[in-house]
Amino acid sequence: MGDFGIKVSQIGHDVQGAADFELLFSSGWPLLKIIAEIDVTITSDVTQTLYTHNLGYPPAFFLSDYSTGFSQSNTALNTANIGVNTTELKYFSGGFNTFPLTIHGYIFALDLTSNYLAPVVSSNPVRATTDAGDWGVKITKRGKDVSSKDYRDFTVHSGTQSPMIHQIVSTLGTSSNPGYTGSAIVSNHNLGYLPLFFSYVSNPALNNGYYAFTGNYTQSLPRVFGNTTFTQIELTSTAIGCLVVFKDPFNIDVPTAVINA
Amino acid sequence: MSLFKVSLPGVNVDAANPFQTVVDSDYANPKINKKATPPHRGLVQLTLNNTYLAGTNTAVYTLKHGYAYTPEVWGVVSDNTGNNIFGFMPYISGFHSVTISTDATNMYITVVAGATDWTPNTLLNISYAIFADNGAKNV
Repeated sequence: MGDFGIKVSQIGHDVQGAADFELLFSSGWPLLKIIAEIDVTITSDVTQTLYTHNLGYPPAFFLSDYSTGFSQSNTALNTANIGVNTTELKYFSGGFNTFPLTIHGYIFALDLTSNYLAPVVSSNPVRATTDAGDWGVKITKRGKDVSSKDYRDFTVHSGTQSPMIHQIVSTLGTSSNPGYTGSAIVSNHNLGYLPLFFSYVSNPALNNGYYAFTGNYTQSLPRVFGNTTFTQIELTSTAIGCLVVFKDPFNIDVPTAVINA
Repeated sequence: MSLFKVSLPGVNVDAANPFQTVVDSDYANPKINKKATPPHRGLVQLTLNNTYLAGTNTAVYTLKHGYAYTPEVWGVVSDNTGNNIFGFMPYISGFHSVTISTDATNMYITVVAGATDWTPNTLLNISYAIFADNGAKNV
C-alpha cells in the first residue's frame, strides 16, 4: 500500500506539521465511533440486561448517571457492577443503593479483546492560529441537513474535535511493570505527554468476567497510573483487562481556570 | 452502504468494519466544540484548602456551556499526592469525593463531603471535555 491517505486538522491548526492530537482525523488511525446511544432505567437491585448489542465482541462503553438531574460519572457505573460481553451490557445486583438509577450512555465500535497501535506522526504541536475563515469538512448523519447548527446532526465537523484512538492493549495482567510490583496492564505509548484513556477489567471474581469500566480515580485498586511514556492499570489480582489510550492529551496548554476553594 | 467512509491503511474500504474505518458517515463520533467560549476542552487547576462541612455539596467551579440540553462530560483528574495516579471523575478520597457533572445550563465541579468535616489541602488537576453529544435522555 502506498503512502497516501487523508488528514484534516482541527480548526486553526496548519495541517502541515500539526501534531497528531491537533488533527480532526487522519487515515492513519480510527476515531472513536458510536455504535449505539442508550437510555435505560434500573428500577430495583436485580441483575438485568441493560442493552443487547450482539456485536460478537465486548465493546468499549461509557455511561453517565442522570438520576439526580445532573449527568455524571459515578462509582456504581464505573466499578464491577456494569459490564459488557459479546452480546450485552448488563447490571449485576449489589452495586447500588438508591433506585431508580437512570443511565445515559454510548456503546463504541471498539473491540476490547483486540490489540491496536497507531503510528506517531508528530507529537510537536503547531498550536492554533487565528481562525482563517469559514472552511472545513462537514459530514451529516443520514437524513440531517448539512446547514444545521446542531453538532449532534453530524458524524464529523471541522468545528469540533473527536477522540482519536492511539493504542488498545488487551491482555492478561502481568507482574513485570515499570515502578509497580503487582499485576498490571501496560501501554508503553511514548507519546511525550499524559494521554486520556479508557480502562476496563474483566475478572470472574469481581464482575462475572464481563468487562467493567474501571476508570474512576481511587486510591484503592484497580486504578490507573501514568506519565509521559506509559499508562497502566494496576490490578488487585491477575485479571484480563483492556486499556484504551487516546491521542488526546490530559494537559491542554495552560490551565483554562485556576481555582482556590 | 455508507455515504462516505475512509478505511485504515491496508483495509479494503468495501469490507471494513466500523473499527477499521477512520471515518464512516454511518457512525458518529463524540464531538467537542472547538469554538466555544469558555473552552469546552480545558484544564482546571483546583486547590482545595477550605473546610467542607459534613454532608454538604459545594460547587467550586461552574462553566456555562451554552447548549439547550444536558451534554456529555468527561472529567479526568490527577492529584499531587498519588505519584501520577489519575482517573475519571469522581475523585474519591476516603468518604469524600469531587465530581464533575452537567445539566442543561452548566458544567459543575463539586466537592461532596462525607460524614465528617473535610479540609483537603490538596491540588487537583482536572482535564475536562464537554461534548456536543447528549449526556442525558434527549427529550
